[in-house]
Amino acid sequence: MSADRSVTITRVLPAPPDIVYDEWLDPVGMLEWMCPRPARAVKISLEPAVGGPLRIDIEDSGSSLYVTGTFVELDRPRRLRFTWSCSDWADPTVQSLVTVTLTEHGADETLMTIEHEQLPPEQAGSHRRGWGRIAVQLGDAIRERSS
Amino acid sequence: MVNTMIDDLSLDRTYAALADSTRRGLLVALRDGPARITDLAAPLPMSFAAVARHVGVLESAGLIDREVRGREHWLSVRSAGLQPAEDWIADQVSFWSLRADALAARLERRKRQP
Repeated sequence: MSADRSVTITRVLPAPPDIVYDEWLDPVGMLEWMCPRPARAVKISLEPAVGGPLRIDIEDSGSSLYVTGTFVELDRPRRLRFTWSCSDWADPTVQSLVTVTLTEHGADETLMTIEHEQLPPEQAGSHRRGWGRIAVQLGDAIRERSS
Repeated sequence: MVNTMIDDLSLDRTYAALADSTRRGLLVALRDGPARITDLAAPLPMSFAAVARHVGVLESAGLIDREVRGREHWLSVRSAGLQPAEDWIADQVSFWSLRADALAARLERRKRQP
């Protein structure tokens, strides 16, 4: 089931891969984009080495939470991979995995793919828990046929 | 808090209902429209009773509706039952989409003021 509990997004970014890659390891610059409003990253610390730690402290609507992780792969400028655990999950020790893949895309642009895998099956947030992409695909398929 | 617990219980049931390929197959079979348990069982290598049990699990998880017409029970998909799962995935997607957008905006600003 773990393969089902993942999300993937892609974006074209207005800078070449090496610039984008460095943004992912710049704890000061990341404060600007890592937690867009209303959530806010208040502190980010990281050690950009395989096995090095990552920690993001977040303020979200009056509550504090933090994300911790460890860099698993650092392949400039193509790929970064790190674990991701969140203090507000039902089990904060669950380690999910984030993979950022950067490829050249036209002149001075990058196609960025973020894949977040092994998300916890039970999300203890305020009111939602989930069980993966399979439900979404099923819902889409059902609507497609019935519309 | 109590509401959260009730919500969690019902979501646990939905999750358990979906964690079985036969039951997912039944939901997919119902895409084509309402059917009776007999219709659902016909193409499957299992007994009517076994299919009826799976249908019961899907029903108690709020994933299918049952309509009684005379002696016949017609089943249909209740797609709203999948909504919480879809919402959760949408949350995860928007989490990263927002960050990617914010990073793109930062790179745009940097480009304009090197």
